[in-house]
Amino acid sequence: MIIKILGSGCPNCQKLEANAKKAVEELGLKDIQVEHIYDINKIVEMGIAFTPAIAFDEEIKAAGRIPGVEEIKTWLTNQK
Amino acid sequence: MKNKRLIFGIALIFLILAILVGYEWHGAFAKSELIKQGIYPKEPFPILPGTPWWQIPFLTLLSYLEKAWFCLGMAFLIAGAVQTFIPKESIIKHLGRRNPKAYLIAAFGGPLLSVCSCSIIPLFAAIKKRGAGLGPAITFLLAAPAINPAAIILTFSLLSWKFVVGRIVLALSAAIITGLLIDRIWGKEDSKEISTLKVEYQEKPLLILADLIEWLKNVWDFIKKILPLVLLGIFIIGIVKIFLTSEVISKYLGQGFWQIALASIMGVVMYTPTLVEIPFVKELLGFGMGTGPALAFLLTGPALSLPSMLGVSKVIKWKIVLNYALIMWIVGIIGGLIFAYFLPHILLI
Repeated sequence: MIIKILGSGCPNCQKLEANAKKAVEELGLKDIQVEHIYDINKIVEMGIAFTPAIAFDEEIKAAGRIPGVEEIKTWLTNQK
Repeated sequence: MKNKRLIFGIALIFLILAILVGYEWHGAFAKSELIKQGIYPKEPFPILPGTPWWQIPFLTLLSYLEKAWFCLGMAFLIAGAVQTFIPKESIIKHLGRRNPKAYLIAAFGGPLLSVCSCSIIPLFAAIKKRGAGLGPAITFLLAAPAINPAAIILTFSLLSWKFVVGRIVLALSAAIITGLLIDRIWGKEDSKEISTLKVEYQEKPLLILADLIEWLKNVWDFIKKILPLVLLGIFIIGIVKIFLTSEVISKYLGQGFWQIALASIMGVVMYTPTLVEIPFVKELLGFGMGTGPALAFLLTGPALSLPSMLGVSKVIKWKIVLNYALIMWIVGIIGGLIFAYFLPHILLI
């Protein structure tokens, strides 16, 4: 699975990316990649209006806010 | 009851607004009473002919802080409340397919949606490609920064309620007219790829304590993001002030058609950080800028800038970007002329 961070590169998206990386690291999940998508056209193609957004593969988990490390960890544990 | 959280948020916003209006009017009333008695309130940080030039930027900054701290604080509280309690998803959802309603929602909802300049462009792209289409997207793009709640409050406090009315009415009309025209000209070739947005809106329950904490957190985020730019902007205005003279300003920016046209294009090209346009216009009014050029600048300044046009050009063609900038420039001139007709003079105290 790939965690996608969607946002045009403003401080909010950077923070979300950092949170996601930290969550993955703290759970010790080595096979999960975190990818940051900056391209607005790709973001819109996924059907997202509010950035920053986070998606697991194609499934949008949150948009328009910055979920904390704990919240992302819960999603990751439920995913398994 | 449905939407308890939204109602709580709206009540909170109105409460803050009432406090602010009460405070401002009380201050203005006290001041006019003093003037009636022949006592003119002293400027705490006066800039006199003998003031050393290097002190001017600092005195300007201090003078604004002294005048605007209360109103700025309230503005941040309201901006945070809008962010926390107004469900953005439901506004986007009502932006249906191309119809007249979409333009109105884009114009009125835009100010409630825009929270951070970097999220405007993705939102613009989303409205264009997956929602209401090109016209309403342009309307949103132009209306959102021009009449956000904080800017309206600061306009009220530093300029006057007349500028508030002029700004809201003319900025909304300008955004809608530009959107409609652009859709007329470019909409056809652009409409093939519209699909729908995946916007899900879940109503959140009202948890007063948690919500209030979230609100204050959002307020703090706004302060961190916006206040440094505002302070820097005012400081730069103070530097510019050293070189300005009343002759130059009243010649190039006094009342008149060409002056309005110049102010309007200044607004199109210049990058003005949000809220800074207001002290900027206030200073220029003091140097003899006309009301028409002032409003023209307030119309185009926040709505357009080269950086924002660069961002938008990633989503739509350069030709369309230049086209809406041109239309907005002309609409800015018309707006300035209308405002100058209704309010030829203003005295700011």
